[in-house]
Amino acid sequence: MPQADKHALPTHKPGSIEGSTMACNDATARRNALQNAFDYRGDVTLDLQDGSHLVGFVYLYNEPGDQVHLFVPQGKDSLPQTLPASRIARVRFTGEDTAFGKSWDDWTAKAEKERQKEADRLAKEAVARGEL
Amino acid sequence: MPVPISQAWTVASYVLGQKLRGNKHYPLVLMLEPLFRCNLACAGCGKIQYPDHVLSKRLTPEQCWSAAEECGAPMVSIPGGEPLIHPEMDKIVEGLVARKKYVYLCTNALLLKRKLDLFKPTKFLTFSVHMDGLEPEHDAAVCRDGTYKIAVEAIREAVQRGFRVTTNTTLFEGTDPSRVRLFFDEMMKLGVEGMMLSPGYSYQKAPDQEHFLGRERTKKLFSQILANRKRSWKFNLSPNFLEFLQGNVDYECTPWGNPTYNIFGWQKPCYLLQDGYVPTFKQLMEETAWEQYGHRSGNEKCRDCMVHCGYEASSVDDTFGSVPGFARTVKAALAYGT
Repeated sequence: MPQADKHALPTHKPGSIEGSTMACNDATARRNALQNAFDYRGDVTLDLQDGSHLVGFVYLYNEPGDQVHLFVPQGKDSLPQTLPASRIARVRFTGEDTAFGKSWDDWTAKAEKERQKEADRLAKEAVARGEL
Repeated sequence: MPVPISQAWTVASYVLGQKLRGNKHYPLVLMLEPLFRCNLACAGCGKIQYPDHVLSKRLTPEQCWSAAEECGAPMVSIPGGEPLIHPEMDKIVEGLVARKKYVYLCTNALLLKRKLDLFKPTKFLTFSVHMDGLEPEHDAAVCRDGTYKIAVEAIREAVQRGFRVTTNTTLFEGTDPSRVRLFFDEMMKLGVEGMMLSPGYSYQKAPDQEHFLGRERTKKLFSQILANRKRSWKFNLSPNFLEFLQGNVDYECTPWGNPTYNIFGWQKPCYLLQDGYVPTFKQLMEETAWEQYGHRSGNEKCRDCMVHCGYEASSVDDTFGSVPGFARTVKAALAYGT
């Protein structure tokens, strides 16, 4: 593939907000960004007003209480953390969208050989974790 | 009788007690999700798509017991994820049984045979094995060959050792009713106590939105499956719920009937929707805007749902809520042998 064509490829997965950024310039934009972060099945990076960043999985957005709850990875585990939504300047969808490409249609659209390969890979991963 | 008389009595007296106290919103089954990690990755499942650090999180036994006490429901269903991955599942179950909760441990059975020694047969514990049909249908549904055979072997072993075993089947678009009927025959031959059935739900966050059943298609499918049913088939469901699935009776959803607790807290409003979390069961019951949920609410997310976690509690409530409801139950029970 010519380099020019490679650069023309989308930077994020089509149909997914992975790789995108949402600014929190006002209350409406903040609500939209954080609701998307709550719905997103991957980690996000929260850029805070003071210039710092926080990476984690947003599992609750309490809009009336102005609070965002997330699990922040700490090694293999993660710990809960809460911060005021008003401290967030923008939301970047930096983690893998774990729901992307896993629909039944995606699965059946794959060639049998490819499905078998994926099933074998997932089984091996489960064995490695001691779960099979 | 697909459930022990003691269980039927416990549930009946619990529901009647709630009715006598005038409690409209009471839980029937606690849905306890101690982890989201699974050793399968079924297409269409809305429960397992999370980052690795979230999948690695586990509820502790103490958190599980505390949730059961806080909720007070007489039955606890443990789905997931795959509960048998949890290293302390035996301890969790032991503690729930000590609290005289009727536990349904929902499993794909891939680890069941290996872990059976960790559990003791008791009327309080049932292994509810995920089986989505005969071998080709089941293996296709769970996206891995060989799963059906392993599950069947585990069911045989568990039954032989004296455990209560049921099957738990989710039916999706494209299901062949005649194949489901053959599947029922096979499961009953294995000696399971009863079978649970439910139409699939189109999870808001699930990647698969096209293979779930709409209401009319659900009613048609279940009518075909359950027509001229065999006396040998036993269902671990309220008979009125089976009538509901066929469109013979209409219910509104009871979203508070099967409250869900997991690593994020108490899930609003139900097992299937994730509109937020609260730290206490009391807050879940008091702060959830229940009128915004259910088929008649007009909520788009509830439009096609006929899943047992919303409607089984409705059918049980109907049984004990009126004389006609009780009569309906008796009539349906005689028809289904439940």
